[in-house]
Amino acid sequence: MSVGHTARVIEEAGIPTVCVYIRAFRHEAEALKPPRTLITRHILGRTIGAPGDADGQRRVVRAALRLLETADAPGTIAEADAHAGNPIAG
Amino acid sequence: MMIYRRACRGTMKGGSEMEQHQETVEEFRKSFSYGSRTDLLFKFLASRNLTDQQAAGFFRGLLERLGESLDTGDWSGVTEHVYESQVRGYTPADPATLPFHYDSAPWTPMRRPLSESRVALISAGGIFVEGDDPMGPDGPTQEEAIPRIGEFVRSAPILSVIPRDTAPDRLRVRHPGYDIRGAVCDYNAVFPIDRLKELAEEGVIGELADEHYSFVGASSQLRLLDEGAPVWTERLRSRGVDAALLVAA
Repeated sequence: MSVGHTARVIEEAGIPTVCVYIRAFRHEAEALKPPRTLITRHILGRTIGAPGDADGQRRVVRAALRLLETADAPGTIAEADAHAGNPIAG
Repeated sequence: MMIYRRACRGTMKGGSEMEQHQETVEEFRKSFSYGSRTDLLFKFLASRNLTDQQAAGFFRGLLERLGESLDTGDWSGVTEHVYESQVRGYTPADPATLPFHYDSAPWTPMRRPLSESRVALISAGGIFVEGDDPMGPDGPTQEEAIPRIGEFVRSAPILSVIPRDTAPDRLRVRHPGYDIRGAVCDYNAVFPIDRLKELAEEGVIGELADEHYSFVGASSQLRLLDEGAPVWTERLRSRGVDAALLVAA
């Protein structure tokens, strides 16, 4: 909940935000409605990617940052694609 | 399904120490969540969203995939099984039971392209710099913090400032709400500062802010909204931050 709430406050003050949540907490993002959210297919505590999987982590961070430029509606929730969120990697 | 264990010394009431306590399935499941078998990667086993049958099915499926992985050396089946089980465990049957709901989202458009923007990272994963423990010089270890989860969720979150050029071996992680083993191996799992540095070098991002941030997401939401986030926002503004990447843990 904390990240969604923090994003709402920062965004309301005039700084654009993007949040990354794991799929298990998608319902929190849906309820809290941060402005832009990327959902990853990862397990708890590995939101961005498996330890050591720099390539997978980079794809997730890029996908999240891309939402800053491509999302056009408040409350946008996007799912990381299979490659960006590959839980097998690492 | 019943699971038997010998009762612990000191918990018996008038019985012999040899007396057997029949651990119920419910007790067994709960023991993984701030109980005798605490493991924050598997605390979802205590979730009301799972039936006993589904919890038992988790173990059956885990052993099956473990058996396969031992032969093939490919652990993806185990990972996928834990992932799917966590999703099932955490997703509420009725989302209306969540304490916070909003009808709309705030919105601020980007002022300039990302390739010209200054970006800051904020992680709820409980990262801090060695020697700058947000709970003071005698702050608890991870093991000591876990049983204090109730205290954390009643407290205002404390922001840890992490200068951009902090040496990687000085980063620490402590959080009573999630399994930190992945972040201990590689902090980028929840605090992807190295990935952001690479993207800044490639020109995808204009530049990184001179400091980044983390806090323990398991904290009082009302105090976060009143005392935390507004102050943090001013700090971002004073650093000329154009956009923020937030990571839940």
